[in-house]
Order: sequence, then structure tokens, then C-alpha cells
Amino acid sequence: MADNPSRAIQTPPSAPFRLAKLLRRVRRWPIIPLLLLSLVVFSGVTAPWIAPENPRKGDLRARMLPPAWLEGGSADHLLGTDHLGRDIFSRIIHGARISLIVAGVTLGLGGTTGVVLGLLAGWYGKWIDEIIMRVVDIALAIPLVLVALVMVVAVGQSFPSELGGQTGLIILVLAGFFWVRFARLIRGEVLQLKTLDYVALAKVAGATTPRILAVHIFPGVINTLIVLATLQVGFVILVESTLSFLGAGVPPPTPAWGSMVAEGRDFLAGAWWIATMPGLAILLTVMSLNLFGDWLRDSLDPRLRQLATN
Amino acid sequence: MQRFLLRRLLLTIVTLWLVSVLIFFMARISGDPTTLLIDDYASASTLEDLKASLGLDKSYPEQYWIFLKNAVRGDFGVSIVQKQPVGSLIIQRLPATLYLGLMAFVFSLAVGIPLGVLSSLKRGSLLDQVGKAIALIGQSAPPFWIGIMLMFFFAVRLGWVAPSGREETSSIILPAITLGWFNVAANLRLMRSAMLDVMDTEYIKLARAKGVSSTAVIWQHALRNALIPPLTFAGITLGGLITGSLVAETVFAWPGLGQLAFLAVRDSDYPLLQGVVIAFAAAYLGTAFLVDVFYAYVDPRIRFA
Amino acid sequence: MLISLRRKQIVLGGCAVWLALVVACGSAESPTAAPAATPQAEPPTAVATSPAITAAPVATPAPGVQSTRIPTPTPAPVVEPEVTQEAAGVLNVAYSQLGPPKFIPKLSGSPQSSINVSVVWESMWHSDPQGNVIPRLVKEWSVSPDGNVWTLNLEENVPFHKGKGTMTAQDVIWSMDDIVSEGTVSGRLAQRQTIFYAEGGGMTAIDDHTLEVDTTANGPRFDLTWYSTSALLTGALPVMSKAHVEALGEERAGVEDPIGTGPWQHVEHKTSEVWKLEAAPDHWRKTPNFAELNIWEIAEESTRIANFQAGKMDSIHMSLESLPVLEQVEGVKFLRLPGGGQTHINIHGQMYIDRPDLGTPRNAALPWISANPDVNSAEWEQARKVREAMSISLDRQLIVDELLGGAGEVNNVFGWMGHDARLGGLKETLVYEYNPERAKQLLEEAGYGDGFDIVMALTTRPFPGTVQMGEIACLMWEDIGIRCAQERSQMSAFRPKFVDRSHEGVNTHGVGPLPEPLVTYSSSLVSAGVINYGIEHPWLDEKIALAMETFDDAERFALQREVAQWVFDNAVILPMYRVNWIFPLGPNIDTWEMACCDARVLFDLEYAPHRR
Repeated sequence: MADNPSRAIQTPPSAPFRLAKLLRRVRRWPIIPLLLLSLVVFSGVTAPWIAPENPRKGDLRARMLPPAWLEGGSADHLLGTDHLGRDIFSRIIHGARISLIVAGVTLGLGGTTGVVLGLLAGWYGKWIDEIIMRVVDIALAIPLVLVALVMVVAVGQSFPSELGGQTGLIILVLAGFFWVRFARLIRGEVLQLKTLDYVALAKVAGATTPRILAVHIFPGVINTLIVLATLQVGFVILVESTLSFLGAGVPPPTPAWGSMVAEGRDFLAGAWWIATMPGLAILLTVMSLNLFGDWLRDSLDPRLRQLATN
Repeated sequence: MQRFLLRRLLLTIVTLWLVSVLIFFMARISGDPTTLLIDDYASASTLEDLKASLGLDKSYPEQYWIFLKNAVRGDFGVSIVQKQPVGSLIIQRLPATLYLGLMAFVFSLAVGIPLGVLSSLKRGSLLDQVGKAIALIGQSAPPFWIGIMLMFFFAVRLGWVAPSGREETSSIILPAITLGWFNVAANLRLMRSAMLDVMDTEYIKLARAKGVSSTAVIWQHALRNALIPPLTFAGITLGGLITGSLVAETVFAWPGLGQLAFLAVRDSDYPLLQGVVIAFAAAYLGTAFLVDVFYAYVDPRIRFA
Repeated sequence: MLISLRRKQIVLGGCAVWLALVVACGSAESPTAAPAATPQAEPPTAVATSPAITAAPVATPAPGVQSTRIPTPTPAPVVEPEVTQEAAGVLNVAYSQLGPPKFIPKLSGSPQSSINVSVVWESMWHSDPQGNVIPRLVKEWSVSPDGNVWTLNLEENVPFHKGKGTMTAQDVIWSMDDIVSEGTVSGRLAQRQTIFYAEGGGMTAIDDHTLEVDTTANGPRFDLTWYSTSALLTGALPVMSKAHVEALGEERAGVEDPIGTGPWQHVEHKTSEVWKLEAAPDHWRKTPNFAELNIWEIAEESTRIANFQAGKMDSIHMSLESLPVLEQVEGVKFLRLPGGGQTHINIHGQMYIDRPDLGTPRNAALPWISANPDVNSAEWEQARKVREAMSISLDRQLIVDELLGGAGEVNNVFGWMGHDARLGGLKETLVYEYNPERAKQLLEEAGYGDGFDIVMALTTRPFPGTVQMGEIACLMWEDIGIRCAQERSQMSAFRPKFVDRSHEGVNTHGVGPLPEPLVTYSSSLVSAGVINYGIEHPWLDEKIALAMETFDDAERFALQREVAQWVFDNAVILPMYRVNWIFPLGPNIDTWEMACCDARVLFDLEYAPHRR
């Protein structure tokens, strides 16, 4: 619906990453967002080694301690402790890992599905397109949070633990919605790309369809894909927190940022740090992702107007 | 044109029907409302009787057939838990959600558009930076957390507005901000690029060359033309705003559809859940349909896309 | 064409703005933040209240000994202001849940039956948290020497709201008929049938204000007062206007226009938003001090706190964690009710009665379940050791001190809150000493030295700390090798498992104050109950059924003590703590003596005085 065919991409894509062009813009690199994001990734990867305390282990006697710099705070707990006496700082570090895994797997699954279906729909058109677009419509028409809630209530407890238990189910439900964003965008791109001369030439030259899709079309959409994926990471983190708020998030005691904010919200009037510290982690990370995504879009393809709306 | 409209309408109806099938069965795997209704000291036969009286002892296909038969006549049944017709429950709560959605929409435009204009005109100024930062916060923090923080700051600490409910005129402000803030950044970006595009056109250049003052150019000519993309986008997001109201309504005890939807899930209230989801889906599909029609009307090429 | 932004400034700017907000909000509360970890003392402003001991010679049922009990004619719960003043002002209270508008007893479940009976309805009897009977619509009563025929003298001149006549014995009979009629969700149906509809007996209106209930010599003998006060906790047993419901039809009277005899009458109900009520003029018992009462539903704890802080609400549901914050509110007082609820962790799957109708048979592969129902068998002993280990590895005192901030006490005996006096010597002997070393050793002996996995469903109950209690139990179990898979569970999703007994793990739970432990024993620990807390055993079925039929108070309690001992010895359920209920009161109202039933809602609001 938002596809606007009048805005065709004129230039056929060259090297996917346009490395040279990127390097030329080096001075405008978003340093702070990148630093923050590196920090988050670093925390996520090295969490078990750098976190001062076990994120699942609490000491009830040290419950709801404020951050170290406030009166009553303890130097042992930089950002304070939560309602079960767990170290918030350690939980945020481990939470980076969980949140990144959730976002990563969601987008990996959703993105792959979306790209494949988008390519198929855009390339073949006709009834294939029709069916895929109908499914897209359904996915868009049903409120995601409601379906996620219903699914978690219904099968959250019996979802096989080999697939990640309730967390796995949440990832699956999220992916079941996020693929739509990819499919729609990629389909639109493909519709435009397939009219281009070099694609027609490849066809004439006898290239098979999978080959055309893989070699000629896919590189053309990769920039779009990277930008969209970057912008969506933050959104997945936010949606996970909303699900936790409604009682269908990553189950305790796993320290996902979203569920930490959700669990701490009842104490916001007094022990505000329990929800606010992970909340700030989300805020800074998602903000950095958005800024980085904006920058990527501007650098890779300033014409990607559709992505402006995230 | 007529064929296109008919086709789109038909597809919309088919989609809506598929949604109804999906939610019907999904609701039924999610739990059992009757076990919630009875009290702890009831006997097993009470439970059986209750199920029978609600028609829940019939097979799923049979139940769906009854549901569908009634639904096409506009009857979505009676809420199992609330004991009121689903239709009237939805209609009772619709105005609150529409009002909230509208105000959130107004907020996101009222903040996003000036900031977007500012951003396109005064690139990199401090004001521009602060504006963009404010816009980005709404897109980067969990909405319920923003909502509660706003409540403690503006309602408790400053005492400017009511903390929750909808008894007072000021009650709308905080939920509308909580709900609308997310879209501010998008509107800002759209407005900025649209402004840049418009300012770049021959038409504006001509106006400038003719000596029209730059303020007049911006406000009278450029802005008017640049408003189209954000407004179109807003039309699409309106459906999303309604579904997004779930969080804002829960935090601010705002008695709208979002809250009703939450009740429906919490209680596994099948008829209510079906009704609410179908209402949401209809709202979304209806908006999408109208946007499509609008596009087709404005730009006939779209039909072949 | 598009400008590249100076991201640094944006991020910094954004942080600055947000941090300003955060700090501002934080600093508002910072004085309260620090003492969060210290156990709170009684705030200086607070007025500690205890439930009123009403009906002066407490009408504890002892019919076997005494054939007639005549309590003082009228309850006098509070010291009344001498001058009757005109009701004035608006009272606003907020609960986390209001429940759907169902103003007819047969349709109302939890929580609305509790809320209804706190304002628009009145019941025949109420009971305080200690189980003492408070007469309400029944002025006095007597029992025949054989214990079968009850004669109830009803209050006279009790008007229904809005001029719908005066209550008579016919209304009582009709209300009872209605609650057992088709479509009811109410509990204790079988017992209601046995008591009030005994073959050859039943209810008879002797005159307009005298009612006779004959349970007949063939049937079991019941104590009507404890029976009906227990019904009050659950399905309620209020008296409705027969004429009104018949005139309006059940649907409309039940949903739109509730009529009762309570001190507040209905004005408007908006689902999940607000219930507006007004003072019933010249109420027979107590005309409220406030002219209007609004009961709001506000689901979020923070939102309720904000409303109370902003002065919009006179009282709210609060969690104990919010106490330090609310103590800072100017002019706040607290209404404290000891024994608001008792929490426990259910251990599911102990299905020792072989029932073909159960979809999930007993799974003896689970460490806490014995293959053999015989309590003297080796298998039983092994499983019992596992359960005992689960129990004694929980540091209940630490939970009470830290989670509840001392506002409660450790519970070792399931269901006995408020009845310690009747436990006798068992109070001292039925104690689970916290001993993780011994717990480890027990696991070792049972063959689970390496621990085992268990599913903890964190089901939400309206008692402070219920969910956190489960999280903490998992923390403590981890120390002895029991590994929890935790899941948050809406009650709606979990309740079917209570019914079909399919959960193979533990869950968090709690019950309110009970007139007798038997109320919960007879529903949750027997195979006949629709809801079961995880254990069905022939011994329990037999003993509890016997207790239910025992009319004599002392004998019945002796049987209940036996059950308590058995439940304790076999550790079939994990009692956790008894928690006090606290309601904050804003500067407009003063404390009153709240003497009823179910601490999940504010009772006796008609006695709430203006603050002078």
C-alpha cells in the first residue's frame, strides 16, 4: 500500500556495501551511538566474565538497595539491587545478551522468511503474490500484542524447552509478525528491480530464476535490508518490553531488559532505579540503533524514504 | 475503477473472514473462561452445566458456525465474563479509544511537523538537536515506562494534570503523549525530507526568485505541499495507534478498547476476544482500504502495481 | 540532499532531557528510597486497628453443648458519633480489579461478590478474620437440641434500596432459591441443597421475620452460621429483593440495577472503570458519613500510588513495597488488618486416588510423588522426604522480614490463620525449621543428591508478595539443587489445571481468612472438589468428609487438627506466611474498625468518618 512505483531506483546497485563511499564519509560517522552499541555487544558477549555478580542470584537482605551514589547505596551494587536483592548492574550486562539474542534470532527468522517471501511475491506476482499479500494483510490486521498474549497464555508453558521454552515461543511469535515488514519492503524493491535492463538481460542470457534472484535481485535489495534490520532491532527490544508489561514476556528469572523494566514498574514510585536502570539501557541502545540506522540509510541510499517511518 | 474497488473490497472481506477463523481457534486454545467463573467451592457438575449453558460443550466447528451465522448479522454474542453483548461493550468503549487515538495523532503531528520543518531549515542548530532528541526518546523507550514517569512527574510532582482516568479534561494529555510520542520521530523525518524535496522544486525556486519573502515561501507554499506525505503516513498509522492504545490505556486506566482487549485475553473471554480482534482488524483493513482507494483515485497507475 | 546529523549532540541532548526527568522524579521520592531495605516501624501517624469484637458474647458455634445462643441483638462495630449528621462529600477508592457488573449472587464470582457485599448487599451473618460470627440481617437465632432445626429471627424494618419494600423471610427464601437455580456459578451447591432443601425439611417462613430451616434428622448436621459465613467468603449469601428481581427479570436486575439492603446504593457501573454509589438514606444500621462512594478500577500499582499521592483517591489497594512511599504522603493514616491472607505453594500431581476420569494420571517418576499411596511404604517415605526437603529449605522468616517488611508472620500450618488458639499444642510442634543442610541430606536419602527440575508457575493472587514468594522459593531451592523453570501465569490460564489436575510442578497461591480451616480443606484437598491444590488421598477424603458432617464444634476441630497434622507430616502443601492487609487513608478520612470477612476490599465503609 505504501509502495510508490513512481519512485523507481535508477541506479543499478554496484558493490553491496559501497565501501569506498562509506569510507569517504568517515568523518560523519556516528561515533557515540557506535561506541554505545559496541559496548552493548561487548557486554552481551562477555557477560559471564565481566558481570560482578550472578544475575539470577539474589540476597533478600540486600533488597531494593539504591544505586551506589545515593544515600543507602552500596559500593557492591553500582546500580542498586532489585526487589529480590539481585544486582541490577549484573542483570543489565547479562540482559544485553538476552535482548540481543531475542532481537537477533527474531530478525534472523523473520528477516529470512520476509526476504524469501518478498522475493517470491515480487518476482512471480499473480497468485503467489496474492496469497502472500493476503497473509501479510492478516498479520497486519491482527494486533500483535494480543496474539502474542494469547499464544503465551495458551502454549507458553508447554512449549518445548529445546526450542527455548517461553522465550523461544515469544521469538517465534515476534518473528511471525516482523517478517511482514521485510516482505513488503523487499517485494516493492523487487517490483522495481525486475523492470531494470540488466535483469531483463540476465533473463535473456538464460539465467535460471533462482540464479537471477540470488545474483541479480538480492544484491539490489541488500542495502534496504541492512537499514531495515538495524532499525528493527530496537523495535523488537521495545515490543518485548511491552509484552513483558502485559505479562507475556521473557519469563523470570532470565534478565531481559524489557522484562526487567516491566517487573520493576510497580516500584517506580519508590525504588525507581529497578525499572529505570534497564529502561535507560533500552533507551540508549535503541536510540543509538535508530541514529545508526538513520545514518546507514542516508549513507547507503538516501532515497529510502519508506524506511523513514521505521 | 469500479472493478478495482470491488476487488479490493472483496479481498478486505476475505481477509477479515480469515482473521475471524484464526482468532476463533486461537482463543479456544488459550484457556477456559468457565473455570474462572465458578468459585473455588463449586462442584464439577456446576462446571458442566455452565459450559452447556454457554454452548461451549459443542464441537469447535459447530461453535464456529453459530458464531459466523450471528456475526454476519452483526451479533458477536455475549461476553462470558461481563455478561453484556460484545457489540455494545465495544461501542461503549469505542469513543474513548478514538478520542485517545485522535489526540495522540494530533500530538505526534503537532510536535513532529514543526520539528521536521525546523530540522529542514535550521540544520544542526541546538534547537534542532534538542527537538530531534525529544522525538527519538519516544521511539526508543518502553512506552509504559514513559507513561508512568510522565505520570509521576506531571501529575504527582507538578500536579498539573490528572494522573489517570478520564473524569477531568486534562486526563487525556498524558495518555495521548504516551501513545503519540512514538510516531513523532517518524513524522519529523517525513516532514524534513518532504520539506527538503519541496524546497528543491522549481516552483519554490521561482517563488523565491520572484521576491516572495522566505517566511512566506516556507509557510504558504512549501509547507502546504510538504504536508501530504506525513498526512498520508498518519492515515496508515491511525490503525496502529488504536492497537497501540493497549499499553497507554492500561497504564492510565483509560476505559477504551485496548483495555477491553486486555480483559478479554486475561479472562479467555472468547466472544469478547473475537469481537475485539475483529473490530481492530476491521479498523485497520478499513483504513487500508480507504488509503488504497484514495491512492487509486489520485494516481491511477497504482492499480497496476 | 538529506543532511547528516551531528549524532553526538542528539544523543547527549536526549540523555540530558531524559535524565532530567528521571532525576526529577527520583528526587521527589528519594527520601523514601533509602529506608526501603529497613523493616518499617509503625508510622507515627498510623492508627493500628484490630477487627472489632462485635456481638459481645462471641457467638462461637457450640450447639452440641448449648442448644440456644442469643447474641446481643444489634452489632455495634464502632463508637458512633453521637449526633447523626447529614452524609456529605465523596469517597474515592481504587482497587486493582472491579470485576464485571454482576449484581446477582448466582452470577457473581471473585472479586465482585466481595465488593458487592461490602457495599450494596448485606448477608445474614458476617464473620471477622478470627471466624467470630457477626449477626447482620439475622438478629438472633436458636437451634433445636438435636441440632437439626434452626430458627432465625430476622431484623425488622430493613428496607431495600430505592423504596423497593422491606425485607421479609420470603426474600431470604427466594434469594436461596435463586442462588441454587440453573446457571449458577456459585459454590457449595451440594451442601446448600442438603441444608436448605432437605427432603421432608427445608425452609419455612413462620412469619414475615422468622425463618425456620430444617435439615432433618436423616441429613448431616451443619452449623448454619459457619456454613453461611464461609459461603459469604466465596459466593456470598446476601438477601435480594424478590419483588424487584421478579419485576425486572434476572438479566436486568443482575446486570443493571442491583437492589440490596446495604448502606450504599447503586448509581452507575462502568465495566473496568468505576462503580458509582450513593449513601442509602436513613439506613437501618448505619447511614454512611459520605454522600457518595466511587470505586475505581486501576490495574497498575504505580497508577494507584500516583492517584493517592495526588489526592485523587482516599484509599487504594497497595503492595507492601509502596508503604515507604505512601508514608511520606501528607496526612496519611493506615488501616491495618492482621491476617489478611495466608499464602502457600501447591505441590501438584499427588493424585493418590485412582480416577479413570483424570487425563493426567499420577506420575511416580516425579521426585515428589510416590508410586504407592500407602503412607507406610518405602516409596511414600522417599517422596515425603523430597517434599519435606522442599519445605525446610525455605527460609520463611527471612521472607517475612524482608519481603513483607515484618507485616506478617511465618505460616507452618495450611489454612489455620486466625485459629491458632484452636490448634492447641500443635502450634508449637507443627513448625518447619529452616535447615538447608538437612534438606540436602533428605534429598540425598531420597536419591536426589544432584537435585531435580521442577516447574514453578508464578500465579498471581491478590495477597502481597505472592509472585515474589515463588521467585524467592526458587532462589532458595537452587541452593539445595532443585532447579526451577519459572513461568508467569495468568490465573485464567492456570485455573483449568486446578480443575483437571494436569500441572506437574508447583504454583504460588493463597487464601483469605477462613471461618474454619475446613472451608478450604473440604474444597481443595479432596477428590470431590472442582479445584484441587495438588493432593488427593483416600485418608484426606475420608477425614474431611467426616469433619464436614460433624456438628459438634470441639469434635469437628479435633478432626481438623488431625488433618493439619497429616498435611504437615507429609508436607503435601507448602504453607508460607500470613500477611497483614494495609490500606492507606488519605487526609479526608479517618480510620474505622473494619470487621468483616475478606480483607481484599474495604468493608464497613459506611463507618468511615470524615477527618476533622
